[in-house]
Amino acid sequence: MTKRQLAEFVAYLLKDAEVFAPVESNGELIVKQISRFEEISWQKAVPMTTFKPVLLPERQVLFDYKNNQVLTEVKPAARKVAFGMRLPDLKAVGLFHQVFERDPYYQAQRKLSLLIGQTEMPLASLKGPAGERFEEDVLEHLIFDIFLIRTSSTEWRVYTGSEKGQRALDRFGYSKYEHIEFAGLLKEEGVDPNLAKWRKLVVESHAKKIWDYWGNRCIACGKCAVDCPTCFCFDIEDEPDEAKPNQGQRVRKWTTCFYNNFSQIGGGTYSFLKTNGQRIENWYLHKFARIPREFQLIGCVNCGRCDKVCPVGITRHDVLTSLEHPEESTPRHLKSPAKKT
Amino acid sequence: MKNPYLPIPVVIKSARRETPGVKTFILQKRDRKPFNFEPGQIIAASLPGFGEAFFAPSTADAGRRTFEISVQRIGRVTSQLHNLKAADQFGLRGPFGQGFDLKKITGQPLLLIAGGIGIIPIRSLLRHLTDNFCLRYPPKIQLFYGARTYQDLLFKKEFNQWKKCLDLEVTLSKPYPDTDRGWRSHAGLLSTVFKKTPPLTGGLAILCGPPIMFKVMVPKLLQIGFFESAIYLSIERRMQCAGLTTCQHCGVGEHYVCQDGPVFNYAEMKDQPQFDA
Repeated sequence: MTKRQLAEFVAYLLKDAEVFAPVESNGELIVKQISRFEEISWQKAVPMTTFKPVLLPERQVLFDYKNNQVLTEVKPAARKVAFGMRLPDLKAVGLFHQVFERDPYYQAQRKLSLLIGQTEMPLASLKGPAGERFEEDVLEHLIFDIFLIRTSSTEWRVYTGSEKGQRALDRFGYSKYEHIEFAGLLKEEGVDPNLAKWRKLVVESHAKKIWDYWGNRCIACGKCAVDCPTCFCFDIEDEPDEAKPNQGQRVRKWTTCFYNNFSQIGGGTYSFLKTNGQRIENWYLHKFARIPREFQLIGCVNCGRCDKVCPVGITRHDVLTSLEHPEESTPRHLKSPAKKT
Repeated sequence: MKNPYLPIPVVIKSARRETPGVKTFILQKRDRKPFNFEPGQIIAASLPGFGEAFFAPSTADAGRRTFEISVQRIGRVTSQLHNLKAADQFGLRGPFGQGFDLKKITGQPLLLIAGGIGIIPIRSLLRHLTDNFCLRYPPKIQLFYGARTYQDLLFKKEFNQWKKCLDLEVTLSKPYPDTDRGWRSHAGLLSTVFKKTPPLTGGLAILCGPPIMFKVMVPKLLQIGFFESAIYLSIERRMQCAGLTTCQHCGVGEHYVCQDGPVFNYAEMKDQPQFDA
């Protein structure tokens, strides 16, 4: 597909859908709703914000209520396109599909959404480690509708991963795509060997000194969770309608496990996650213990956003490495070498 | 797809005050069909305009149309629940999670330990095991129930009936003069009563109460010879989605209280991170 065709395709999609894509804004690459193809940034970097709001809006109305009764169930209605998703972003969608399998709001939004991945690869690396083609090695284990591999500054190879993707291209009038049959989230070689290793490290380091170290550094701002493509914690709240008495909406809103009220019970009389150390430990438990136990997947897609946004410089590499010596009050690999006198 | 966030409508048949802070509501589904759940499972009371509150019902009579919840007034939702009266309606979601393991429990000598409103799911279990306090459970049940004051004791009007089916040891942090009620109370914390009244050993121990009670009582049980695998705890955590394992509020180590709990076997959970509160 040429750049001109791609521009026409995006213009075609914009006619009846909200399109979200990487955009440069105040010197930062973020994901934003666009109105023109020209707004899309072709920077190779992973955008600082995620495509998460496309399928899991920050605020989702569950139902309207009136006089203490459920009035109407509110299902998503907006057609959405996520354009230019990176490989980690699509891996995160695979996880979301498992997590929200029984969630009617997520499923309804997924039906109305078109997920379009895009990556740029030098041709030489289009083969996997065993010599298999990149498309088959990587794409058949991702959930997407359309995937674009940029082969030159003005050309893309087009793949489809779903009937919905095929239909969208057919209707637009482009047929030179190759279909990739989804082969499950797990690769042939099975579960990622890091899964068992990290799960053990995180579970067995509980109540050890190393979490006090990270707790003392972490300021519980929650940025690592907000900008994480696999963080999906939420609160459910009832929002009364200011204008109409006894009416309102029950809404589901993003939250993070770093906020003070996250584990409170009894109207705030007791909290289970009391310290920042316990909160950051819980973040790791979710990604590296609970998700692996439930889905045989690592709850981190290695996009690197959390490392970049953390205002105090905490990285996954440093935390996971430090858990190898959890009894120590400072991570061994971060200690400065002893000075010779 | 079934929407798990939509509550089912229930009608309050009647309500009674248990203590200054706790009210019991006798409920029925609006469609009058039975609401089936197991002792120890969790349900959500859903009050549009106020939110949801989670608790274990105080009955569990399979096949019956009515069931009871006993609610402590503590937050926004439970305060509004206390304002409701007979014939009012609200919503319910659930049941969620794993209640008491009836297959393993039934037929075993049982040492039950309840602290404060922890007696609520214990009452549900007792009703199940004694056919609504009509039968003496074989082989034996010994219930230790601790509360702060006499006024805080739930279900005390039923105690004489309970005593026909089990051994009841009540203890109050603030002593209360014993009069002729048919039952007596100890003074002091649950842990001190253990010294005076030897607890039933050789069976299973089931605990429901605040985190501090687990911290004190579990080591005592281990000390007097209970195996870790013979101890069950019913624990509490914040919940939002309930039963879907998505919202993450009730995560404990590798588990979710709304799906894998609230009743956990101590041996299986003791090494789980953040199981201790």
